[in-house]
Amino acid sequence: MPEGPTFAPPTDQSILLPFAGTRREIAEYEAHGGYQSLRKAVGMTGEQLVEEMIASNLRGRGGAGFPAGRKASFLAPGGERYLVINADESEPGTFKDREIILRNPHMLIEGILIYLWMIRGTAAYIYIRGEYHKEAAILEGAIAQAREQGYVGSPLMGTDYVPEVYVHRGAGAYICGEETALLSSLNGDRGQPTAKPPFPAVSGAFKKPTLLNNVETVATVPVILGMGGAAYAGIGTEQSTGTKMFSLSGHVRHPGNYEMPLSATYRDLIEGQGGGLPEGRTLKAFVPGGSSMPILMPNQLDTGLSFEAVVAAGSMAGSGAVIVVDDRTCMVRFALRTAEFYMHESCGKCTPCREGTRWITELLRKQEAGLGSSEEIDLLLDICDRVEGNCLCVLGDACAMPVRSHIRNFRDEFEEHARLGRCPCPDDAPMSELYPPLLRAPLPMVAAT
Amino acid sequence: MSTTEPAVETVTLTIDGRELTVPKGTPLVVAAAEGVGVEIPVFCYEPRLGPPIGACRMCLVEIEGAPKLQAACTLSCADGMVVRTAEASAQAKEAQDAVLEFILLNHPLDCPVCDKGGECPLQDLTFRYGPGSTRMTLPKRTYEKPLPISPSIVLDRERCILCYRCTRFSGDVAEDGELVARERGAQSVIATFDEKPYGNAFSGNVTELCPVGALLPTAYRFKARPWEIVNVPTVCTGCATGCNTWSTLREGKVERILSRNHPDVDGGWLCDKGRFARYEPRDERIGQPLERGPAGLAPAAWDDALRTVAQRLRHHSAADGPGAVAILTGGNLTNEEALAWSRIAADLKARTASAPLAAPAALELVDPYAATLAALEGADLVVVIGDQEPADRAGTIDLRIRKARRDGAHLAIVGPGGTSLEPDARTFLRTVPGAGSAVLAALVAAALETGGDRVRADAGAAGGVEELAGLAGADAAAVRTLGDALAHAERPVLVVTDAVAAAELAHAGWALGLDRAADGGILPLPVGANERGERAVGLVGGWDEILPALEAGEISAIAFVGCDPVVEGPDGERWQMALAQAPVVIAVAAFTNGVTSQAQIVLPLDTEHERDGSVTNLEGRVQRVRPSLAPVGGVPLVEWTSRLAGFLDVATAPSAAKAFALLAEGNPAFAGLSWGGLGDRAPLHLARPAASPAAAVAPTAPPAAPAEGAFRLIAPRPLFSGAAVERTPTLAHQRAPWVSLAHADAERLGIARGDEVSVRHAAGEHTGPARISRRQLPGSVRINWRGAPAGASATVEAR
Amino acid sequence: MADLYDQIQAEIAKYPDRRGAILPALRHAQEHYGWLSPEAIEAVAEALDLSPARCVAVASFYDMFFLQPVGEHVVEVCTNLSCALVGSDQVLRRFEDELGVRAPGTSEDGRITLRRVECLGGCGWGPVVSVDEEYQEHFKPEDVAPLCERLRASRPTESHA
Ligand SMILES: Cc1cc2nc3c(=O)[nH]c(=O)nc-3n(C[C@H](O)[C@H](O)[C@H](O)COP(=O)(O)O)c2cc1C
Ligand code: SF4
Ligand code: FES
Repeated sequence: MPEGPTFAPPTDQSILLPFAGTRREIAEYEAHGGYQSLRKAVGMTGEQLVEEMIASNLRGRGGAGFPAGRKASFLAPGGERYLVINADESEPGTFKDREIILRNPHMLIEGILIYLWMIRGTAAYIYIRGEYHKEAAILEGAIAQAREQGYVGSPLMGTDYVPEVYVHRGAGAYICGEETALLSSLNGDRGQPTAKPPFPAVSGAFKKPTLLNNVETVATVPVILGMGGAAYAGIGTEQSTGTKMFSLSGHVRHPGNYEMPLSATYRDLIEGQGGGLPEGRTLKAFVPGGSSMPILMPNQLDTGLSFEAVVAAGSMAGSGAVIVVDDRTCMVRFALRTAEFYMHESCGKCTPCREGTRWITELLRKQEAGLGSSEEIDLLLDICDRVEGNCLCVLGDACAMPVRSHIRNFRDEFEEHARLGRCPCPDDAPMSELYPPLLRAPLPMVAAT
Repeated sequence: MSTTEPAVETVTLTIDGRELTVPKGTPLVVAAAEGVGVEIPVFCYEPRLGPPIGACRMCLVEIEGAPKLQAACTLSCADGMVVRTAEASAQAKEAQDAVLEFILLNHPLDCPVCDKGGECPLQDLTFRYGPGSTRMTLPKRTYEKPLPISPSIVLDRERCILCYRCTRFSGDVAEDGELVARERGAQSVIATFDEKPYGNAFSGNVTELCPVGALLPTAYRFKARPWEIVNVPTVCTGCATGCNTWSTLREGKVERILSRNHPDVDGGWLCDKGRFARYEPRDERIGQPLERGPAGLAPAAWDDALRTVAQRLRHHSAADGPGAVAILTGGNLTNEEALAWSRIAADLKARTASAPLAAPAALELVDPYAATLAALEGADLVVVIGDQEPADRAGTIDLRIRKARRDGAHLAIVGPGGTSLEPDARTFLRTVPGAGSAVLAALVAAALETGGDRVRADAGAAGGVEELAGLAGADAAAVRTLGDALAHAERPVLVVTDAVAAAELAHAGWALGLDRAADGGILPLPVGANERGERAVGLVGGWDEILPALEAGEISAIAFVGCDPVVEGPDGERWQMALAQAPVVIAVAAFTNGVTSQAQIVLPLDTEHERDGSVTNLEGRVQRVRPSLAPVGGVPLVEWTSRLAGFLDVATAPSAAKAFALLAEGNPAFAGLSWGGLGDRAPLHLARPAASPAAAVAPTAPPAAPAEGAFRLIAPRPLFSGAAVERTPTLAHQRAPWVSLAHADAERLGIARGDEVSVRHAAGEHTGPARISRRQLPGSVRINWRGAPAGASATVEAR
Repeated sequence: MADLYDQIQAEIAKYPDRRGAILPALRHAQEHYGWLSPEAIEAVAEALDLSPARCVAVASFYDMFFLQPVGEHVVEVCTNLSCALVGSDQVLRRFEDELGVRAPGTSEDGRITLRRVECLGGCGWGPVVSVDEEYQEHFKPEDVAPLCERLRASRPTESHA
């Protein structure tokens, strides 16, 4: 029978998850120094906490890498305000937040309580993707334990501030990871992004000032308070401090999540921790930060994991999802499956994304079937250009950027499909099936009774 | 408050190399168009729908310093901003081409057969900026079409460009949430729930908002091309709001009504009654004078008929003394028509009645405290008092109330519950039906108790808070809370839909010091469209005062000018019986109706598209009504009324223009106005008069609770009623009957949502599917019937 | 259903605006009715004081709400990049053969609905198959038959609750 996830062992550089296995019980967590950072935080003012975060130079772990301390400082002052935790984790290849929740949920809860105290938030909502059924239950359990312990729902450690934390489950929509779409969804609307301004810091959850951060970002907060912002800033690189979780998947020997200092390289991750590719396989390319990022080539393996290093290499670090692709893989199919995902997940609000992702997908489908042409490959590139930068949020870019990079790096494969009039790959190559488009239209499943 | 206007803060920016200075906050698209004459094309942008959404991406521009192109529609002008539109930026131009190409991927090329052709923003923009050919080699999306989303509107999903204007109207303006986008991404479609008709009272606005031919009024499909039509600027007389309209005329027929956006009156919206109701078919109209002979009503010559009317009225007036003649109008005449009838009435010493109920007759008393429609914008507290939905009285006011709430006003609904404004109101204060008068007195007493800068502590309440709240069936503590809010709000607006006596309203205004609240005040909603104008020219009184006199035989000649209490009033049966006894009955009507069947003489009534004149809306704004069609009878009402007056030796004017001159000369309500100067967007020309002390008046008690097992009836006259509505097939769904019950009662009776329920009451029977409300007063039943006395006893049973 | 109404009210209490509770409300309704039938939607709409159309607009935006009836068990196979690279296409194909339907579809006996879904967030432990909302990781084609057997033998699981 299939097994559940097995977690990669910690290394001596692990500070976020420096232990093997899980620590779900509050007693266990407290026995290892849990909730001490919260105690420390309660002795500090909100401004001091923001300063500590700025000193740590922690950059958001959700994908954009925005400095967490600065973001916290933008929050409009006074009145009702909310903290929202982004646990939507839907970027293909990403599964790190889930591991944090599965293994150490109280670290997240503690981070949330510190952040709530910092902003004197009315309440925190953890927006967790709907498919994370077990993970939501674990969080509910952890909150219940924290409530019993007096950390949630009662005056916090002798102050008159009462923190409140809720789990809000999504229902299956990648776009709800984008912050404004997430807030629309939390507010009870269709999960579509909204134009900025107004920024969430002014009008977010329930139209009130809102601070929104990724699970990993907030889970790192107790660590930062524990060791001090400056000490944290000493890890990693100057512009990308600390350690970060990397989700390694695809054609590697030891897939899984690895906590890496941001001064390490992709080679350290893929060949070091991941054990390289399986026997007899060679590296064709790798996705450096989630499927929406331009792909990197084998000669770029020594690229650093830091935000700035990946940008210099022509891509982005994104959520830290690294997908390793071996030499058997058909890049046309890879591109098609990538585009199909974004077409399926486009929210339909803005024109270039709604129509562009569909057009790109349809053309790739033709290409894969060998019905395309060299001119249509150029048309594809042109459509990618016309989508990128013109959409309401960056989902359109997330489709255009990788597809463009797949074509640019592997144009000969695309041309070959067109020339042969079929896919040249062997039958047992990955993604050998060509499914009908994954459409959302209400397809009858069983006859209504 | 300072006496000088605060200086407007300005910003200076550059658009396409030209520098301009505009007030801070000016939308960028407006600045470009008005400041430098550059059109930034838009589809989804429509400021009346609320904040911009930046969805269609048609308006992308380059902003210096921004890493990528920005949707101009989402930006306001800022100091030092440097903007390059598609006219000056190759990047913006490329993006604009791209977006248009994306939009056209799925849009069918059926302009020649599309009703929008010729007045379609997409067609215009494609023509101006679009690509010559398409690079899309794949099939376009296809859908079943056209899809009727209601009897009045059809949807063509293939033409839809998903700009979300219609769904934003439904969700964010009308707030019904019935017209929505379903599914996601490229599969998104506009839809209603379970193919149910889009039944909002304002649904027709989406046909004007849709920038392509996707949402079209059924009645206008394949009717006209833009070059064959004439648009006449006029004003809707469906209710007392006075929304400004265009009537689209083609070959002697009014084919369409569009909004003519008067920001202070209608904000660019119309209700479906104003938009779709038609007095049709024309060949069923009463087109000439009729006199009752042995074989029933038969055509008569104009002068014969008018002479007969004059003789009979004169005879009864002279023979039976003052008050023997009664002239009922009903609030539906123009000011000019009303002037003639009021002079006739005065000469005949006739009783008059312009409204179903006498109570509002002295509404002028309320003028010192009157609020305007525009005052709802910026109100901080809006209190709606009464059994009725405000929309049923004054269509588009509903949209203004909702906007005020969205803009932050505290909305309080005071009544028996079961209305559409309750779900999002901050306060819902429940009363028994017909308790408007009592609960207003209670709120005033509560406000006096807490006091406040504005409130006049010495004004004297009509009683104690407990006692008055008890009378209204309201919770005293809740009355106190809302009374406190009323005392302390800066700009409260009271919207009163119940018939509360003017003296009571005046006392409330005085006690609450509403004359001191700049722009705040009371907004009573009259029943008739021009009730206010009719009163101003002297046609005062209520039908309810006439009826007992008629029943007592004190009235021997009665004329119904454009009104029909048999069908349209709450006491239809009594009227019918009383009329059977009346010696002389004269009816002026568009179609045969409840009074024509009893009349000896029937004269043709002009309907709204046939009249020339002016009407006064509920705020006192005098607006011009312009005809698009000749009256069916050939002779305008204002003209034949003056001929009738001539036979009575009463001086009036034979045309609207001349009649208006008489009004402007002698009537303070028209002071300073001129016929030629009424203009297309009429201002409010009268200032609020000064307030003077008004004494407390004992409130009218709501009807007593009915016997055990019976229900209290709530049946105010709905917006969708009247001759024109009944004759408009595409409005049938708007009149479809329903019965609203309190959740507890429904549960007790085993009635579920949608079950057929029948309601019997003294004035008739009504059957419809059940609606269930958790706020409605248990023991009450609300129906959308033609109107019945509030709080009457009714029985309810499942069918 | 009175208890659904109360459940939804309890959800509403967690949010400053009742609209926030729409996703939990739809989820509860789906658990009660098996799918979001018009009747289920109307119950949600009534409990939230929103229009049914709005509830459908929201429900139809998300992959996890069923606006069409589904089988007693729902099996979802991730075929996104990471899982596909390690053989999820083969797993899905095996399911299709075993159940005699193409995804998305329901086996003729109405017991098992098979869907292909996007990334489930188990990429390092793929192929991932979600069975009645419970993840089964490292799923292999040979695991298909035993799973289907087990599902056919069991009534709808409690894992929804
Ligand atoms: C299409 C799209 C999907 C996203 N998905 C996620 C996600 O699943 N989880 C996440 O934390 N951030 C996601 N983000 C980034 C968020 O918008 C946001 O930047 C982030 O949650 C902020 O948290 P941080 O500052 O802690 O990184 C996504 C962004 C986009 C544009
Ligand atoms: S129907 Fe018209 S208004 Fe509605 S989204 Fe489509 S194009 Fe826009
Ligand atoms: S008009 Fe600006 S995005 Fe539509």
